Amino acid sequence: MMCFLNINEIRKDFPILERKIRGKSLVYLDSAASSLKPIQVVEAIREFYLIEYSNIHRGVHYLSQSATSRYEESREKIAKFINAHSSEEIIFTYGTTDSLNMLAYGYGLRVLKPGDKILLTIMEHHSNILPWMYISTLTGAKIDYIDITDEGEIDYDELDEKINEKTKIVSITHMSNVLGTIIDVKKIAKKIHEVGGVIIVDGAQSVPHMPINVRELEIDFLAFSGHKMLGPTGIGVLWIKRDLLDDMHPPRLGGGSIRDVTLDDFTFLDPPHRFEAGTPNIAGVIGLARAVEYLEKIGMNNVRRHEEELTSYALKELDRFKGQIDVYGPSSVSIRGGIIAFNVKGLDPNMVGGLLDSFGIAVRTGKHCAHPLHQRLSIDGSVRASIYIYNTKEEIALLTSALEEITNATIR
Amino acid sequence: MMEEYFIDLGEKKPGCTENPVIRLTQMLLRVEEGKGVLKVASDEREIPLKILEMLADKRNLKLQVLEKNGTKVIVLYSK
Repeated sequence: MMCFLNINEIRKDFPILERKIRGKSLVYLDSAASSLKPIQVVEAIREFYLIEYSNIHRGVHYLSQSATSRYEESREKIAKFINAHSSEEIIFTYGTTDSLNMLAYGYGLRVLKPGDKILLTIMEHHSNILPWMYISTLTGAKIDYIDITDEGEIDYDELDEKINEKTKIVSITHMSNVLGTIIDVKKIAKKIHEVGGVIIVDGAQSVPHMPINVRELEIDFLAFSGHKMLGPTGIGVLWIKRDLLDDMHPPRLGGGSIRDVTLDDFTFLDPPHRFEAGTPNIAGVIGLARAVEYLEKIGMNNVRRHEEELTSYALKELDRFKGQIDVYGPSSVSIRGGIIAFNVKGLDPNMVGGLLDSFGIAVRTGKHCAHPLHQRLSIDGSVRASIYIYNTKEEIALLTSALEEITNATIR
Repeated sequence: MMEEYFIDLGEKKPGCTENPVIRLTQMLLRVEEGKGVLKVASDEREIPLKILEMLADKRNLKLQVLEKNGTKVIVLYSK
């Protein structure tokens, strides 16, 4: 296998990988839940708290102004990472769920009327279903879903039928957190724009794993989380295309977002600050920017190629267990990321996960906050292995070797 | 005094966080930490005994079959 990344050097940046679990090396295949953190990100946060800390914005003292510069430089960094037009389009939130809720309340509540349609896919994470369900009860809009094919791809044939002049919002995942399916969001963006609607993209699983260019994708909103891309928890991003910034009402109001307040009225600051009421997760922003630097040094194309290689290898190995293990999602790695959900026939997925843990292998089990998808697949949960930059071919081999022992033990 | 925990793997509750297998893995950790022993009731039609044995083996625990009645088994995990 060609190696696009110096994996050994990368792994040295993650001290947690030195841990032994029951005497066995940790094999961390749960990055879709949350990624591990390199020492550089932890040190950046630590240093900020120890020697640079202050609250930001409006301060006249050195520490405050220095912290403000760091914060706003981080915003610039993230804007460049996704090729936004400008940093004013980058709003810091607490994560993807927070970003999607902000959109539902700040945009959806404003534009949706009775009879309008919100279009999701059957693959969505609950964080991209529940806010819309609630907004639909408040506005009278209806929710519709794009189905998947047997291969776990979006049924693009449904688009012409599902997108019409009543469709005001399409809100979809870029990469399924269960199937790994990568959706052609640009194709869907074109369709929704033809009828005057907008497209919201849940980038929680895609932004950490592939190059993202919001202008090239022609999308309108993008949400993603810091903790899934080597950054800390409690920080995320909502990117809003600059033409739509004024169409969005800040759903959170308070200090730090206004220019002036009287007893009767108030005026907002310009974007992005009008959307960031309250003291933000300053250290989280610093940590996220450092994570972005780390990823940029590797190169997102290299990240993607590494995961394509490992995913391809994993799928090929899992194919040996045909009849014993069901693997979900597309077979082609060109349209899937490094997320592999599967089931061992005849065994509860939680039992498989518990057994893999006994081998030192960390995977996630259950329905992965995607109940409608599991209902669609007619399964009561699945095991999910997810890959990132620090995983190796040897670790995939350990996974399949463990699965071989497990499947052998299920033969009655 | 060692605690004795008990799980019936056939007792399924609604909700994805109430699965008895999840509780099993949590309880096994307590056994590994020396906090007690764990009695598990299971049906071999759902979980083969070999799987329960594998859990013990890979976690350096002892497994004793206390009862076997047709496909129903009760086992004891201890350190």
